[in-house]
Amino acid sequence: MEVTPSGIVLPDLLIPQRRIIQPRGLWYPTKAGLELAWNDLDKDVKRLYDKWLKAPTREAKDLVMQMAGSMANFSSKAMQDSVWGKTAFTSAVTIYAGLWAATLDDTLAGNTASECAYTSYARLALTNNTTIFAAGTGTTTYSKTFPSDAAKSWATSTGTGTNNTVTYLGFLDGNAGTSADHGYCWCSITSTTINNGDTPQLAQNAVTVTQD
Amino acid sequence: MAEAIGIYHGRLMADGQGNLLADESTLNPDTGEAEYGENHGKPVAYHEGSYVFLKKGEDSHNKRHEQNVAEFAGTTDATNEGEEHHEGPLEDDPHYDPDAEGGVKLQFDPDSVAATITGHTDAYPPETQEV
Repeated sequence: MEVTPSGIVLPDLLIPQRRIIQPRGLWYPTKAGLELAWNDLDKDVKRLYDKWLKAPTREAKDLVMQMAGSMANFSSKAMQDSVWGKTAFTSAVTIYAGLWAATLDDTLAGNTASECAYTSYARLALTNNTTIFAAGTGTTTYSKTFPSDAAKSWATSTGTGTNNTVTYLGFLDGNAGTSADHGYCWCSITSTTINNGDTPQLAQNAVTVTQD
Repeated sequence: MAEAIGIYHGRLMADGQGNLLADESTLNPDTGEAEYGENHGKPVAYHEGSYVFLKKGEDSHNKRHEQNVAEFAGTTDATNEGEEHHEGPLEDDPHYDPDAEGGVKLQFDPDSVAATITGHTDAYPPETQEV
């Protein structure tokens, strides 16, 4: 055994050779990884990953919405704190679905500006049970699809009002219309203009939330 | 049309079938649990300038006013005209901010304003009604 200023050298020690990892196929990033890199990707690359991510459940997703979407900060924190540290999380008795005429992100709350206001608009109240939010499917990627029981409609419009061309859908735990309502998740929807006499409708099983 | 039994003033919620319900739920800040007023969940409908409570047998809000169902159609291609917003905020989006991460910075209304500018009977005065 030899001791040198830099440490101990053992005789006959095999020093592993560096081996370069050579990709032999398409790299499949995780959704979390994609979220981080999304803004730096070229449009055609975004499209490629978009199609790939949707492929397994495309039939269900064709019913309505997809593309941009995410759990909101509030629900992400609640889930993590529940798993790590056993911090109790009491789910809302009623989950409210709101429509927005502007982009949403994870900071969604009840007082987020540009919420739809066609005349007679109100958030859609969904009782938080397994009839409407049935058990999901999958193991490595778990997917919850809802509303499970039937299509759900917002109130029939009685006038154009304001912010009546909706592009985003948000789910919250309250209907106070203030910052007291916490965001659960959000997604973009097909741009839809709600006119007088229209009843906006969310198709059955229109929304899928997936988690790795 | 049957006689209305009273005018409702307050927050509204949709029942899933195109109708309106009175929402008199409030969150108790001490217990964190919802508390409900006596009219919570009662059906209401727009009727001649007001939102009125419905009696048994009266036409629902949806039956009175629906002309068309607007289901959100599916799309899997954000390059379609009018669907570009799926890939990111457009420059005319109220929450577009070129300096923000992802080009989005949500705007928030003060609570005192936000509570009544939508989803509340105050948000829909008679002059906004087209029926």
